[in-house]
Amino acid sequence: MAKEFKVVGKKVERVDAFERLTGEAKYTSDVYLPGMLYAKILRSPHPHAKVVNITTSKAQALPGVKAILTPADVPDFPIHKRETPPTVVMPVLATTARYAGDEILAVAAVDEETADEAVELIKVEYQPLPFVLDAEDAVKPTAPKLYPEGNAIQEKADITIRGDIDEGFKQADVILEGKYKTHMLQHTTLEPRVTVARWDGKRLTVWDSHKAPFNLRTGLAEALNIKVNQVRVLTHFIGGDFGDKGNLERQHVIAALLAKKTNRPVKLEFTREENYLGAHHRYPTTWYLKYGAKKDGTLTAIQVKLYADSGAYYHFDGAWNSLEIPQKVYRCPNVRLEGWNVFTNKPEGGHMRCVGHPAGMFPQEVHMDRLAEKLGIDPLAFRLKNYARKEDGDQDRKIPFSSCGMEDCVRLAAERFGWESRWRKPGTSEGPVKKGLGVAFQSCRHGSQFGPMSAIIKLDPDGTIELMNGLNDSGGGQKTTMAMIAAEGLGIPYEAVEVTTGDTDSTTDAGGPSGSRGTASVGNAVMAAVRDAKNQLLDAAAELLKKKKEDLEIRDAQIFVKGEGGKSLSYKEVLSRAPSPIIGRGTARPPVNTATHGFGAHFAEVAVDTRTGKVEVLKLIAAHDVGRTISRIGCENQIQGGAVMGIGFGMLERQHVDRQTGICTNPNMVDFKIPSILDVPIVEPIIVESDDPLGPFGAKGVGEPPYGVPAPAIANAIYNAVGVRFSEIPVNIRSVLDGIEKRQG
Amino acid sequence: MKSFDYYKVSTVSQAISLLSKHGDKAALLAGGSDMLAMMKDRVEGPKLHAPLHMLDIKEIKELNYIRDEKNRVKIGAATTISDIAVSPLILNKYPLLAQAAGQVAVPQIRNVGTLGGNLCQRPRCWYFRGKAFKDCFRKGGNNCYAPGGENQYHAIFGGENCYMVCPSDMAPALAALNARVEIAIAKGNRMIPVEQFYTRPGKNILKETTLGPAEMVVAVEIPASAPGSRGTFIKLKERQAFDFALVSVAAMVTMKGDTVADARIVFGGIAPFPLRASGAEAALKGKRITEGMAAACEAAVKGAEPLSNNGYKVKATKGVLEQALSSLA
Repeated sequence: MAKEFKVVGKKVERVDAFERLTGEAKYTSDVYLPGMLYAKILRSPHPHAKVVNITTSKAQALPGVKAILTPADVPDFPIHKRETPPTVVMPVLATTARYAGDEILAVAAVDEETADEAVELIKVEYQPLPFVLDAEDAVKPTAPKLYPEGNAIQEKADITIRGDIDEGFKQADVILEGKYKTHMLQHTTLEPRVTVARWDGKRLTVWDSHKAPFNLRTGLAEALNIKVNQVRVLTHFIGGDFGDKGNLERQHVIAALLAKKTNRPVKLEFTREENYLGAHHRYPTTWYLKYGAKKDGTLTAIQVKLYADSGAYYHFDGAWNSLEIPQKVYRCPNVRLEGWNVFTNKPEGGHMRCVGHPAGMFPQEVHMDRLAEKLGIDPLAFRLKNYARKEDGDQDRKIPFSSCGMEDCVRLAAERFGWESRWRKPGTSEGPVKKGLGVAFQSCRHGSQFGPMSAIIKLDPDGTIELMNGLNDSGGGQKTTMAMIAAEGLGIPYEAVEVTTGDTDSTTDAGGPSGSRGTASVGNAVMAAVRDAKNQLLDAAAELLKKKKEDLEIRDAQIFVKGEGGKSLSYKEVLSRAPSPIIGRGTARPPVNTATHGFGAHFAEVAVDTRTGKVEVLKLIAAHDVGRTISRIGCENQIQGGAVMGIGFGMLERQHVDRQTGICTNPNMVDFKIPSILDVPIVEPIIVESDDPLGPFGAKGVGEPPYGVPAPAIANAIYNAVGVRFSEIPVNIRSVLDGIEKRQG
Repeated sequence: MKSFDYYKVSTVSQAISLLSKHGDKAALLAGGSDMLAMMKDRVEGPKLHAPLHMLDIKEIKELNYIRDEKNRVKIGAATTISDIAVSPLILNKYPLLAQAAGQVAVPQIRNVGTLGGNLCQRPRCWYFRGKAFKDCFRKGGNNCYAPGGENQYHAIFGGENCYMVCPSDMAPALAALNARVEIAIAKGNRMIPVEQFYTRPGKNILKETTLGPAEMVVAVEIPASAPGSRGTFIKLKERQAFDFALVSVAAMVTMKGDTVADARIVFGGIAPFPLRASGAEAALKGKRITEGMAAACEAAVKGAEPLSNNGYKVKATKGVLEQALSSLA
């Protein structure tokens, strides 16, 4: 039964569209405070080296230089730390550089140029150490060690066994093995990392381009050994995060310490180059896959071994994140997963949109395509036979999915794409420019409920409705979505809701927009706050109307007596006559023993010029089960934006590190190639609504799922066109031409 | 960026006299889209220094024109790439050049970038541009990082001791049109064919052009194309906007009936200079395009010396030439 909504699912203007479009929106980069100093960081030119000596006298003598921070000046506080052995600590400033770009010291001066010049005047003497750049090299016993205990970390969960893998292969008629690789990427947010810190007595105010202000507040308080309420974090507008900008980082502590030392506000803004070196990265992965299936196409065994390249420091279990999710797309009783987090002398691996999932999607979906071909089954039919249904659910935890719209995604997308009528066997396209079709499936638990969820909604006597919410909007439209949820819940127009975010003093912790959790998680907290406020509003109205609360309802901003047409009060009138403002408080908890997944399928059509290796993506249909669309424009934008970024992941982007020197060769936007408008087709979103019982109005998340699917769909389409398989992304002119040449022998 | 003295220059002779005075400590500023970026990025080396004297030539009127001069067309060095791309005169007489101009970078850069700047642009080799790679030959160091490094975008021809590629799209197009560069010198002007405007790394590792220290490009002169001529420009790039050529080709053919009487084929993106493909030209002469095409493509890559990661450029070179010739056939 279709539900009727007044606001949910509609196309509305973003709450902050005007500010963003007119340039009125103030980003951290735009913050200029009286007396503000500018900080610059001295970075190691070596991928691995001990700092032997630092001489700062010349820089100190430079007019305009106000403070220099060396490793000796910073507290012994780890920015990131692994508690269990091998213990891995990331200090505020490094005395052993572990990647080319590692942060050694910082300078504050009256302007950027002076700070830059001071950095150049500082002499750092290094003792270069041998370095290692590839994860598989790094696990060899002879490899240079980044940490005394070695370069490989395995968490408890990094070996998982479901069923009996040997039995699974025994049952298989066809077994297929393959090796795959993905490479290092950087988010390339339009606004690089930037922090402004100012002390007012004991109180620290920090402006930051950060998606999770409460994480930053707690982190800074711990690092500086002060109370959390001594720190105020302001993050009003954020120029994109895409998974970066979620933690306490070195730059925050450095800016706060320099501000303290100089007693002046300090701005520390990464240049584009610094952002490529010193921010987080999508970590490179190396995969060994071995899948088994019966003649009829039933998957019997999935065996995966993975090396996840953490770079120089440890942030989280990337191996597990990459291993766990992809295999759950398909129903398979026998699974063995083995993962290693490996240190190399490269920039820091970290969270990037959809975290480990896309790196695992590419190998799995290409492998599934190969397996289908080996079995002589249409690649779509093979996937449809094996995908995990609602009742299969999360097979590791044996919990059915709370909802599953996979079948609708595939049916609707395949119909629009014309898969059945247009799909041909690989290599049957004529002429020098060959066309091909490809498909890939997706399912992941991103978009479920987790993390802190809280919200406050204030209904003031003048009729102002203000949602005070700790969930930041880095560009994904979260402010708008939360306003829509509040409006629908209260029964008032969307335009009536104002949203305050990005201030730890006036909002409560709602976590960051990560793991596609914003709508699904914080939406529930907003609903809880709305229920609380609505209750109070009805109490006030009942008093005025001299009726029982139970007999009242709110519709179209009016409070009616049920069954008595015409008799009503507007909510504004009630508010103006209520004795006190109404404050709705809401919190929510992650549900236990549930499994909520988003589902999707992408269909790609490509044209490959066999003469030049140039690939054009002609069509990309992206179908996603989002549970329920809250903001229609926001939802379509997320699907299209995610897919466009995913085309970059699959076809263009790679941060290169020179194998001889260990130095990054392309820390700029000319050579690190994010897609331009000319590189992408108009991505056609198809939205499936499976009405999830756990999310607000049935919604699940959609921010991340579209990202990982285009790469394998396109790789499979290129195979369909020219018969070349790819074991690495990005797939580009070089790999297509090399592949064609190899095929021709 | 390091500070510098700024001069607003209003005549060519004033620019030449300032160049004579300050030598290699001076630089010309026209569009500035790449030179200022290099300065901001602090790309420096033992023999590569940020200019201390910046001569702004943007508003020298005598440098900004596209002029029909009977049997030739002249384009002033400070003419923007955008103006060339949309000029009715160029579109009509040398569509190949308009095609090349239309594929430079992105509209915003074409609107400020100039013809002279495009011809004189410093290499985009990431070892040359990376400030950490201090030992690069072209910056006055003792090494070329490309052969043992990440060389997928580097030269397959003419590398000698430096494997950068000429980044210009206009240079191969103008070379195929048999254009000459007009250079202002202390006393008067000199003319030099585009091909000879560029030097080889073996001859001068620190400079890409034969331009002297007190000289500047003031114009390009393109002769009228012979009757029966047609041409095309194809640029193969990874990203379809704001990217340099993996390989580009400018191909001109002069037909006599069904057969090729004359051909000029010049590649960009695969050598440290615009690479004239005389072998390919010879393979076409006296034949129908479709007859000579396969041999021309093979001849174009004869003698290529790919590095570890850029073998694909050999196939890509043949590919763009095949595309170009197919479109001219």
